[in-house]
Amino acid sequence: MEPITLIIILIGITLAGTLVGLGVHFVPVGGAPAAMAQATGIGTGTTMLAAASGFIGLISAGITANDMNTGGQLAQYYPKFGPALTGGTLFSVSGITDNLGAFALVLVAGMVGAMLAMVLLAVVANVLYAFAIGVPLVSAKVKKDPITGDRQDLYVTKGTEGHGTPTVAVVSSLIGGALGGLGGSLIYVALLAGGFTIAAAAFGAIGVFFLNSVLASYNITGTIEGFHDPKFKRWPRAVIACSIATFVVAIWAVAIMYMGA
Amino acid sequence: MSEVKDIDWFTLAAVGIVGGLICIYAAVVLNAVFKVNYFAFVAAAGAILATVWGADAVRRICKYGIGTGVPSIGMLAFGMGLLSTLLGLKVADYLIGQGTLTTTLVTGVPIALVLGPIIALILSLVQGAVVGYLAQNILKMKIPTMQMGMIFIAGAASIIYIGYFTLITGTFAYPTVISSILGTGFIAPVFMIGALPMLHPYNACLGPDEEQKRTLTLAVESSLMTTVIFGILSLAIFAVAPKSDIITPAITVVLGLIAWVIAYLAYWARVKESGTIILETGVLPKKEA
Amino acid sequence: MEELVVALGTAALMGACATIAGAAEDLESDFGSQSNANSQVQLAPQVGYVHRIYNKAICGEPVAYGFLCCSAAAVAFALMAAFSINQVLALALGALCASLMYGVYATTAYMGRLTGQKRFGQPIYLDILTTTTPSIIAHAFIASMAIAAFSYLLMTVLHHPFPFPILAMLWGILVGGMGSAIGDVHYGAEREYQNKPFGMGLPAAQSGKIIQKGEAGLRNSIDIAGYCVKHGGPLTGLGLGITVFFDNWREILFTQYFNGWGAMIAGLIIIALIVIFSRIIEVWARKTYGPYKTEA
Repeated sequence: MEPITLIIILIGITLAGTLVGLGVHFVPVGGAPAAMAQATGIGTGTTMLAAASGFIGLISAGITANDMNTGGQLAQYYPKFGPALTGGTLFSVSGITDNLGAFALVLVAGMVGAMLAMVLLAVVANVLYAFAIGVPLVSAKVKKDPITGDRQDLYVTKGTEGHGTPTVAVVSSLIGGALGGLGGSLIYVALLAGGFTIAAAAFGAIGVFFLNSVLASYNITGTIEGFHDPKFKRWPRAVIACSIATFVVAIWAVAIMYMGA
Repeated sequence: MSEVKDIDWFTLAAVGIVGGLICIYAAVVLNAVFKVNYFAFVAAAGAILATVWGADAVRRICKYGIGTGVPSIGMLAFGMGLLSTLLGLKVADYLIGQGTLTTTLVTGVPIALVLGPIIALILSLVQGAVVGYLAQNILKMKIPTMQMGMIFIAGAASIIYIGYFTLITGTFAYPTVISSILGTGFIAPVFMIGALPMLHPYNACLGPDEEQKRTLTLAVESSLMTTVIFGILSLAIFAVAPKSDIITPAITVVLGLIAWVIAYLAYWARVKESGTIILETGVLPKKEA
Repeated sequence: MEELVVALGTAALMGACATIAGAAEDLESDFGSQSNANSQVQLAPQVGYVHRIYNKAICGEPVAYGFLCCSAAAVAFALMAAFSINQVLALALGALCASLMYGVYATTAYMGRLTGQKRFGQPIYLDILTTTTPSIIAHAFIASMAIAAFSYLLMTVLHHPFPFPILAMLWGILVGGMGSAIGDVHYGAEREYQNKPFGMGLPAAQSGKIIQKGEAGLRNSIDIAGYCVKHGGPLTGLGLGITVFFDNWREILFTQYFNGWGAMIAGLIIIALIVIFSRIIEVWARKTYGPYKTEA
């Protein structure tokens, strides 16, 4: 495999891992308190919420990439994708420029899958908060919702940090899901382009995703409501940590590819 | 209350690394010498020793209050351990392919193959060191045992992976791992129920009265359950033509079940002797107001 | 045309399996009081409220369902490969092995957590252990068989390239996330604090003061699941079923348009509709319930 291709793959994986780490900061996580209607956000832990949606993005990206490969139903529209993949030139400079449309489709497939899973997690929970618990959907961290302008503090139960997932948090979750899905599918395509088998590329992507998701959740230490939360300002630390950690893992992956995966 | 002294974690690391590697090599060498597959279950012992090492390291890190929960540590260890382990095994395969170091120790076991797990372990320890440094100094986790603990769990993850790969397929050669573990999708249970015996013990025994021996007994019990499940999975590798060997999976499953019963009863005995109130049934105990 | 019909039918069947799986998952986690609500169950003895609720703290629900479903799928795959037995039987046997293992983890978690807190005087009730654990195993069986089944369909009929244990793991992580985000709220905010006023969140001062008495006698986990099956469980199932169905439906029907971009545009439209729906609920709740306090 050409050295330039390997270096591009290295940069691609590192960038993807960093996007995953950044995306985790946008996701509104309430954790255990959210399930008690004590905090705003979705009631799952930080690591696993990002992972759950990112993996659905991975599933979507996997099937799209397979469709575009030789013999799939999209292969006629993206004729250069299949041969570039099997020939190992997908991430070479010419491979990227020839296949921009194909890349865009796979990455967007990952984003859309992840966003769909994320928004359903948030909104179906809102149905429960509104009807079964009987509370309005508000955040205690801001006085007015930045997107809808609704007053928040009057509707917060005294003694809690908010409940449900208001619109600003839903939008923030979409951004988080999109970044996570983008990162996950980029790692997948990069590993696939390097010659890994489909299952190896998928599980390699899962492993790198978990690495970044956990490091980002260590940065957040608990819960975060999205981009309007003061804790969001910590994102640069996570970006540095995730990029270095993913870079080391990417070196191992590229070494395997160099030796002929 | 008498303070029982905990086993030092460097001792457990030595047990995990040396014991783990010896068991894994023993499985492969015994199989090659006797030209059978029956000794695959010995590799499970290696994975169990490494799990005990890892579970103790998880205890030491999480005792300081990690903020996001214990299970993420297991996912982190196994997530970062995967590619470094695969690289170590690939290096061995590459060397064999290039024809270097192929003098065989025993028929069918070239020196280059034996080097694979050691390289995988070293790379995982390096990976653990990097992530531990990042967690402690860039993410400012402020946990004194984080650096060393992270190195240990990454190393433990690597040996657990290789131990279970050998249990399921009988070897840790890279082409077999890629086709029989990754290609079939068995990597998913290896990841999940390989990591679980490492993170479950401390998470389950969490509390101010947590005690090392009880926690580690639980680690052994959980990894024996994993061994039984992987014994069933190894049917897909051994019981198909042309090998058509049902005995190897059967040995693993039966020995695993017997050992599991012993381990579970040992855990139950420790629970009883710890002094917790155990009631057959009843209403809530009266508490002084 | 026929392929399209088969594919759509499979997607609908997958959606149905997913709905059942989601409901069973949430109920199972309510039986064991897993993850979110468990923090309160864990805290209660420390603030003086001993209870008869099952304290199953294996790991969070996503990880737990990840391992349950991938083990079920992998054992099913192994049995199919080794003995060529019928797929449905293999899935059932796989789910059986995986849920038995899951039940054992549940018992060791219950015993371990209570032993780790023995100084607070919370007893280990053997009858809770023996009556609740079979319910946990049963619901875990339903959930894992359903998820392994639809992952198998995804791999074989819809030709997904990933091996089906990996697919089962990924969907298992999502179902755990759904249960944790949706169903656990019904348990944690409503049933666990049933003696507190309805229509408000839980103030921090009330943390740990969970309900001890039931309608007749003491509250235990089986009552809790019996309540949550009426709303939390099915809603979780619906959440997962919608995800599974729409993700595949948009893929099947619209990939042929605009060089594959049709499926993406369809997905974005669905997401936009869901966000609008969320906004409608938000406005409705604010208007119907009104503020807790008026502007001073």
